[in-house]
Amino acid sequence: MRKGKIHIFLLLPFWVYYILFFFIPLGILLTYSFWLTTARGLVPTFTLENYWAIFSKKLYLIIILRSIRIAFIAAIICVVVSYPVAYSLTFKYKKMQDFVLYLILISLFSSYLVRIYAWKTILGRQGLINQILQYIGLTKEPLSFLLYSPTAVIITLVFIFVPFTILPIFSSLQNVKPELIEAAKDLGANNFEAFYKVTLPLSMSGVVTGFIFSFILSAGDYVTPQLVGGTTGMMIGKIIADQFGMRYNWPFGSALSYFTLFLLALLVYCLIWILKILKLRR
Amino acid sequence: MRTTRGKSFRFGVLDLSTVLIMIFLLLPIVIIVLFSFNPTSATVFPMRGFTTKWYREVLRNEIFISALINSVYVGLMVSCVSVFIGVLASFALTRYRFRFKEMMSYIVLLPITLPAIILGISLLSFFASVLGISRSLLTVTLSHVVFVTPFVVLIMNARLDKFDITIEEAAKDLGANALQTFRYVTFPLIRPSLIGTMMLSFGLSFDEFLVTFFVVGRKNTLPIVIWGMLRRGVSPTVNVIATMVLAISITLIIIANRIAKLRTLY
Repeated sequence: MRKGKIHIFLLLPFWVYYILFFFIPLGILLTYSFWLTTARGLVPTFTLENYWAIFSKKLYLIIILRSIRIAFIAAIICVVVSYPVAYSLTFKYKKMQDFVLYLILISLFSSYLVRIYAWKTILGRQGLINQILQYIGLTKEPLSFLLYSPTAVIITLVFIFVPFTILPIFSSLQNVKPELIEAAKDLGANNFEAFYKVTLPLSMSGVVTGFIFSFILSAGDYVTPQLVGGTTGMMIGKIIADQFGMRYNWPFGSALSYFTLFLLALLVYCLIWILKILKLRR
Repeated sequence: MRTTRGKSFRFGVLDLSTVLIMIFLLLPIVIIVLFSFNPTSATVFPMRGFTTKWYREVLRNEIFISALINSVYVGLMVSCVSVFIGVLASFALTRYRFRFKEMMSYIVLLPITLPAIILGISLLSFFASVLGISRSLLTVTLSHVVFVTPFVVLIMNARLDKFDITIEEAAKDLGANALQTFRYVTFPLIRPSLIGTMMLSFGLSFDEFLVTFFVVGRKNTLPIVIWGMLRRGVSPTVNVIATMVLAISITLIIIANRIAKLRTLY
């Protein structure tokens, strides 16, 4: 580690770019949320009307809460599903590690849109699941509730974001030395205790990172609900996207974004806080 | 004895769940690839034969070809700019001690912890109101760099943390100046990671839709064209384009990994 002033020059392009194309745009979006849309166009003022408008119709709150619920469930499933993969990848399939990581990367890098579309073809009336169910004679009519429901949204979101949770959990599990688990067992812990008291706490940072990632990214998704959600699976991202598209109500869209973002940040903060308290008690 | 039995039982469940999850991750992609060769346009099992006619149709499609070229153009620009910004930042973060360094490493990651839609609409507001520039491939490129740079920093940090700084000191002891040390010692050592990162950046940009949707102009990138097709309904050409994009991505990942892996030799 060196001291000196060189780091300022090294960080200069980064700061210029982030300030110009990240912080200023976010600031402008925030400014928009205090403006008004009238028949003549945007009126630059300072009003909280857009924020009150969120509470004016029950619909917006219902959809925001639904988005948070869907994202929360999807993120929990992501973590639960990712852990065994990351675990066995670390401790069991050492030789196949590279190959399986390849497969995960392939899933991560295959087109985002197409992965959503794939689930549409799997869950649809003419989809794979209905065809299999009819083929083995479990159902006579195709089940129409598979697609266009919150469940379809959750399945698709899990599918999209599982790679995002496997990778951080996998990398945090690299901190868990097999000798530590052995030591715990020598001291009398059974498999479950060794896992619960040694492996899990040591890999918790990856679990939390993966959870936060998949939670926030799911909550803001606007394509998945549009393609597989139907009316009951509608999420806030789609409503926001509409304000910047055909509705052309940028101030209201900005207010919705910041309100949702605030709720998400609050939830993530509470989660981290709760985890800290649990850790102190242990 | 007890531990052995317990072990094999737990790993049995683990094996099963791991395999099931990997199937869950890969089956939809396999289905898409299979159906790109399906002669009928309906996705009905079992497949009725094998055809490459949709591939020929896509390759003749001018919209597809020009979108592909646009995406490659944007991807190349994005990977150059973001690797430049990210690698310099990573050098500062791994080699120098300064105030607010801890905070810096969080700020770097902010763009990827924000839902993409918010990045998209804020950049749209920025381009439209402040800069007053119309949406084009330039605005797409500028936007992509914002969320690609954090990944560059993450990967380069991992590489530079492991970098053995004594090699550079040895070069300097032998009389090399700072530029020579970088040119003949540092750069060759980090080159594999640089190429790997550039490919990853290209891949991230090539596939991006959520931000692009808001900042794209009349010239479309590939995901925007795919989106248009999806909205118009299911067409077998979507499967073909998806398969081609997948083939490009897989090639990139494998090459990037091969090159970046050379580091184990050092």
